[in-house]
Amino acid sequence: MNKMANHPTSLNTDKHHAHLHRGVHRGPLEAYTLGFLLSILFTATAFFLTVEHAFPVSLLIALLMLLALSQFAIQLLCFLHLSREVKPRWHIFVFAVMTAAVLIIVIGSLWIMHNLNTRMMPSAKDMTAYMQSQTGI
Amino acid sequence: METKNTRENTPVILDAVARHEMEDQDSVTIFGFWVYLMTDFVMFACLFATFAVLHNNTFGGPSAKEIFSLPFVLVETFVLLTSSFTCGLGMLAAHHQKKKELFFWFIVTFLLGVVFLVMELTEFRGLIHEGNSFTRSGFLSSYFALVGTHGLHVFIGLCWMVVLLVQVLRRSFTRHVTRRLILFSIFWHFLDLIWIFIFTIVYLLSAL
Repeated sequence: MNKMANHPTSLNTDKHHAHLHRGVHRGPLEAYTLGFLLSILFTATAFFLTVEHAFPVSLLIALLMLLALSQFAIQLLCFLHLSREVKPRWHIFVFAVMTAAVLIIVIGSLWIMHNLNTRMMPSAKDMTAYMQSQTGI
Repeated sequence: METKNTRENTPVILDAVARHEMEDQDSVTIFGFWVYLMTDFVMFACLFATFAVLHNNTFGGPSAKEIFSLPFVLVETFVLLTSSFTCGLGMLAAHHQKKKELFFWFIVTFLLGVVFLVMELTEFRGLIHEGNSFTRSGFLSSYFALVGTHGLHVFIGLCWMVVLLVQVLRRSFTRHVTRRLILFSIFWHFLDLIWIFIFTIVYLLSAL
């Protein structure tokens, strides 16, 4: 029996009802427990790294983002069972497209606003100098 | 209505073809709900982008470092994470059609959700009380918009859970109720996914 397709919250339901009355499956419970424990571990690690200022700030930012993304992936796999989906994998396809949209929005916004900040927000001194040069004071 | 009600109460024992058609319908519904969640994901991304852009614009008000209590937020995070886990355990019970077990885990999930929401509102109330409401600065506006939207989702999830428990109580595990339980569990896990980033970006990174 296909153990993978056997799960209540599995995004693929085709097999779900067919197996509704079968015996106890240990797979899903183990997946939930593993996901839960790893999430706790990652959250706690991120918390202590921050509180203790364990590393230089730039390294810390990278580590925290890495921990968050790992936890995101773990929960997608262990709680939402994204990997259990059978072909054609439409859920994963939509997820990938939306992730691309999300990355474009977030990275694009930060990039544009950073450029605006550095190029179009001169210091007061620069501003005065510029105004003086323009008005000939 | 008549036909709908009969179908609602249809037992799982059906001929293979009819059952296959119903399962197809269910997987389409679940896929549709997944697409909705993905659009929600994009909406949260916009709020995250807004927060990332505005988090330094404190307009003379307090910065994130000064107003957030990290241990408090850590407890909040564990509460929501545990509720996601107990929701999964409830779904396992639903899978085996164990009504009492489902009720136990869903009530635990519900209570954890309430605790989470109360903690969040306490935090909001404290901030507003100190004069740091969403009108104080761009940073606080984006903070309240992002975290408040997540809290609103949790609130809707809690209402949904009550409706589902009533349905399970009255109709037991019919096909429709089971499908709704699946949709709910996806929604609830999704809220925890969003919270990972709120915890990391809003609270931890701002504290550096």
